[in-house]
Amino acid sequence: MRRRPSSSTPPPPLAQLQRTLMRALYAPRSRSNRAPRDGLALYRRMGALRFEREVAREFPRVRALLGDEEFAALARAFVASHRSRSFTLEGYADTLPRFIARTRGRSAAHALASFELALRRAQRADSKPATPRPGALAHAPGARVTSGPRRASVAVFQRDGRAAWLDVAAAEAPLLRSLLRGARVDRAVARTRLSPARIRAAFERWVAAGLLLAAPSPE
Amino acid sequence: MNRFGLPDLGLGLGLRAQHAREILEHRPPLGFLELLTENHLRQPPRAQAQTEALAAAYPVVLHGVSMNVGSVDPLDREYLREVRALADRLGARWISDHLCWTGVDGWNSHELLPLPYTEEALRHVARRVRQAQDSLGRRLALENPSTYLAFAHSQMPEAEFLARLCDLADCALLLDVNNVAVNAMNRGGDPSAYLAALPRDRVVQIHVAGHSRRGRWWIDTHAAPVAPAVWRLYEEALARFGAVSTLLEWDAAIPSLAALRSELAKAEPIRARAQAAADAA
Repeated sequence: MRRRPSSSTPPPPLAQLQRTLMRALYAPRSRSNRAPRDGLALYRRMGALRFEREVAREFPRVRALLGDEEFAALARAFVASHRSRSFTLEGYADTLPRFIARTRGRSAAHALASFELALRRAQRADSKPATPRPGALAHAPGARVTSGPRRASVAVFQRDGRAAWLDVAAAEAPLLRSLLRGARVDRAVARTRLSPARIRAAFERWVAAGLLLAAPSPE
Repeated sequence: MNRFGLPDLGLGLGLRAQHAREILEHRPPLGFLELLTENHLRQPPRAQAQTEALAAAYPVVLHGVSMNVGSVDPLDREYLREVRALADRLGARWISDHLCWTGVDGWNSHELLPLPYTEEALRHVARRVRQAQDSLGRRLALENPSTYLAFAHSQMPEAEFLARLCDLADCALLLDVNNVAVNAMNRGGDPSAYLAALPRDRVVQIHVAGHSRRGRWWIDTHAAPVAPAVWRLYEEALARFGAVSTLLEWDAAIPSLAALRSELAKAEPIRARAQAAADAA
């Protein structure tokens, strides 16, 4: 791309030029802290930084947990193995929790990343609650059970247009998880080993928090 | 006046999330707001309501970075449908994107990559701009990009490419005077000659912004006050293109809204001088 061809030489096809530049942008190369010497190196640097900033924007709590240096190394490793196929960067780093689990195991960073992802998904969810199937309960938009910041279970959901969360006792998590997946209430309750009093208390808590939009009718 | 009858909206700012609430609460006098298209396509409901409130309070224009209009990949029809729906919902006065490509074979670099300015590329981009305009149901304004490499295979200067593209695709121009200055500082060229090569009646918006130094490069960072040389070029642009909607871009190390308005206000006497000169002529 640097040598000026003679004027009689027809330029290569546009498709060829674009594929050549794209390959050059993503060719594996060691990263240097020196200022880029040529335009290609500059585009490579700017592109990597753009993706790394996106990872940091989407996972501020993980960054705070790991510290700037360790998080930057994590983000660099993630970006090096994840290219974008979307017109938007929104959601680019959604697979970071899985990446952390694969490369670092199910650590505190993995739990926190899963929690942050669930928060963002709840925030992005359509604010209109889905209509429940017959026998199931309506729940808040974007509701799901995930691991929380302290690796305990939490329910994350949208309330008044914002992401909210609620700690969930480990013993109650399976019941809530199946309710949020749309299971019929009678079947979900039949499968749990919780006492009737505990089930009732859990339902009251979940309804009061706005996680479930109605309690099951007594039978 | 541009040939499309698009109005001079005065002086505007690029909307940044941290200023949205302050703008809504205090309604500062701004000619218009420019919304970064991709930030508003799949917004959470609460943010969507805020955007709609801003669009009800100010004229808005959409400025995108993902149309990928120069790529050999097919145009992303879903993206275009979403942009059109957003523009309709917000009553956007116009839509702009960049003379560039961002990826190929389905990959997106999210960088505004330069095109080779060849006859083939010209025909290709013109065809795609026409298709995009049909899909969007409105005129598209293309921005001259800041670029950090150039293809030796180019057969014409960028300004000539843009001028011919305007004729072939019947599109509008968003002139970024900072990009013109940055490209000239990095690779040489005469910014005044660049302006003179652009058609007078196609420019519907001007961007001013700051740039920064990184090693041997001047980078279009949008993270600094507008340089004096860029303000001078802006004045030249107004002399050639008349009073054009002008927007200050500031995307990193974003200052307070008051500081942004103060920087934007530097354009006022320049516009007044240009207007006086036009009236005298």
